[in-house]
Amino acid sequence: MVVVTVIDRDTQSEVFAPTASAKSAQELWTELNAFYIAEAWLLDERKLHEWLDMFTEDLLYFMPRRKNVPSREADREIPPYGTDLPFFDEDRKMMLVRIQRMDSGMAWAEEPPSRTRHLVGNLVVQRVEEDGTVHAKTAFLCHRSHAEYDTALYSGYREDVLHPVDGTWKISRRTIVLDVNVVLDKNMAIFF
Amino acid sequence: MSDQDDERWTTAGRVGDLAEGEAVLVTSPGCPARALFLAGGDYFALDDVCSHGKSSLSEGFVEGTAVECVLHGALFDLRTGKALTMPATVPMTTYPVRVSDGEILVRDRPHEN
Amino acid sequence: MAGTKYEILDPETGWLDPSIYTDQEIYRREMTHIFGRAWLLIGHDSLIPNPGDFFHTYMGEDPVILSRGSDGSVNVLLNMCRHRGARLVRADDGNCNSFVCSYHAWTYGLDGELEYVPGEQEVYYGELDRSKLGLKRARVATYAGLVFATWAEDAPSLEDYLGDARWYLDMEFNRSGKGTYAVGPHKWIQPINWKTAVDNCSDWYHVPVSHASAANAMFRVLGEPRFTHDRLFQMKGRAAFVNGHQVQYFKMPEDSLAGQSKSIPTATAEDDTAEAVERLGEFRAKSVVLGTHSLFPNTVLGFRLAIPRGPLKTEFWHFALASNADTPEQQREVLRVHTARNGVTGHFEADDVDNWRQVSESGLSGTYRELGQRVNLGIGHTHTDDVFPGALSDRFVSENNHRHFYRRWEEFMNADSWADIPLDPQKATYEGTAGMNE
Repeated sequence: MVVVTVIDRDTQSEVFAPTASAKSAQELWTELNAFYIAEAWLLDERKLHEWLDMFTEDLLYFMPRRKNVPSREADREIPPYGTDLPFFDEDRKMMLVRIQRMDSGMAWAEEPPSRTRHLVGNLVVQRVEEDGTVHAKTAFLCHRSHAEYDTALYSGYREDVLHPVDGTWKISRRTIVLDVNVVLDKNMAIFF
Repeated sequence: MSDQDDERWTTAGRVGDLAEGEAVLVTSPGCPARALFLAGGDYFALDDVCSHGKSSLSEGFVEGTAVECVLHGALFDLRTGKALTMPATVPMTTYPVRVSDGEILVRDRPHEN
Repeated sequence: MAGTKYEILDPETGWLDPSIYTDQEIYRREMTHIFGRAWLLIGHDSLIPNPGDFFHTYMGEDPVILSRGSDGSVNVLLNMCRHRGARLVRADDGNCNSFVCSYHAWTYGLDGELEYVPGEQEVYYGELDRSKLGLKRARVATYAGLVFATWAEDAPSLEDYLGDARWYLDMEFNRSGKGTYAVGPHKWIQPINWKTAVDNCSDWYHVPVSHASAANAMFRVLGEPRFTHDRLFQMKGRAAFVNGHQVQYFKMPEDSLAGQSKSIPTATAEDDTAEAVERLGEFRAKSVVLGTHSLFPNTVLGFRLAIPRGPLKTEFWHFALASNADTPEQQREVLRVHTARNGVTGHFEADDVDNWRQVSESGLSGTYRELGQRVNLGIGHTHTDDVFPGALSDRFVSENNHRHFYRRWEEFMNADSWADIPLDPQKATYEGTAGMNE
């Protein structure tokens, strides 16, 4: 077994520490990577209902703002959940509103739909809990092309809480942090 | 509603065939296909093909005295044919319906308006 | 300097010149004649609660620092060093004792006074008059916690500038004596002219169309009522144009959509009615609800700003206001709903931008400039009323406010000074105890 030791910046813990799971760190990493690759394809192929099925019923889809603060006050850069006006603070119902909107053919922000390409990588397994719950972090680049000339390049990272369910994974909490202060896109009608 | 003998009416089944909130396709040579609805205890007939997209209103969802197209969700007033919601804006043609000896009849000539 | 006289709207036909969205000369003049003169909404008291707090914001293209002095006073300072124009503040907000330029360390107090210059004796030979080199200060005034500023020394008071628009605005901004607090903003860049977002505040004609998908999904998933043209055309509220500002109001309880259409989604708990009656009187507390609105020039629907960044570029700032009278749970819900519907990710607002952009870009087409736009909906169908201030539309759906907005634009653009800009006299009856700042 190849054991890769990575120290997570936030928790300062070894990310592939031994867990209760029988899976080796390498197996888990490979499995999650495949999960995220499949997810990216669903988003880019506009299979949004199938994408939503990768989340649990009690999902939280959260995207905080990213503030300009002095480096000495870095703890204020990303306002924690429940303290600010985030870009997304959605439960399953609201995600369904957003996705069902697209089905109507009248969601003008996505009509005709954007061409997107999500590249997801830099997977770090931050923590594995006793019950198999996994905390994972990924980085992404997403290019959006809309209508004739509009393009936007989003970069950022995601922190997920994943649960093993029926041989696959379900995300219960996703935090998306964009690497941008003023969003340089006319609207954010796509998902990450 | 004209009820002259020389008007052509198409039989669309018998009372009891349609349950409340249901619809059936009515066809007759020389006439566009129509959808017959039972809504709120009354019968209504509209052209079957939605004025917006190529979809059959007889497969739509009845909501009060309106029908919602299954394809894009446009809502039409069954009584007047009026398009109530986007994406449809053009009204549907409506047809007189009468019941005679338990038989439901849809006139081949639409309402005047 | 009189210069060009702009006649961009024909009030008889509703013809509107699309060049106003694309012409560079017009844009430059807007910066001086409109954004250099008007009272601009730039912030909120709650963003700078403590001495030394600052919040970075904009007056048109001018970056400004909104700061709380050590004596509690509110200052609005141009964020450009008097030496070479470099910025004093680079953060969105924070707390400090002084503003230090990152170029040569000229140092200013929270009130903008130039306090320190390196080498004042050694290299300026003691010849620099620091007292004349403070940061450029704007006039500042507040209404119900909202902070406004103007560069114009000759501008009327904020109270006169708001005029009887306040009769309507009070219904939401001034409902509770406990006040509101601001959260945010979302910031994003729209490829539009700023005016298209402003005039849209009185445009209910677009709602069942532009927002069909959002309304439809909310009907399906959340069980909210359908929003049809029929429903819209039966609304009992009206559009009012008051002293430069656009207001759409809802009549309660007839306009049942009013609750969900509230521009500032304060939860308005049942038990706040008694206080609201005391502050606003029975009628304004119970029978009318403030709907969509804009304050001249660029306040868009609640505490939201359309900040010009060029003829075809606008930076949008989307704040949410929550009521201090609400419970924490209600406040959370208010913020959640606010995020979901509007802002860069809002499933309503997302569908507006391409329309505004296309309206803006119509000014680029020589062929379309010949045709012109048509804001002719409801021409001639207006009235005034003893209770409701302003010029009122006869029906809820009207472009009366669009026409008035562009007339107001002409008044600013063609004026040599504030002396040439008319103000509506205040005539409304303000029942209750609520005032500008109490």
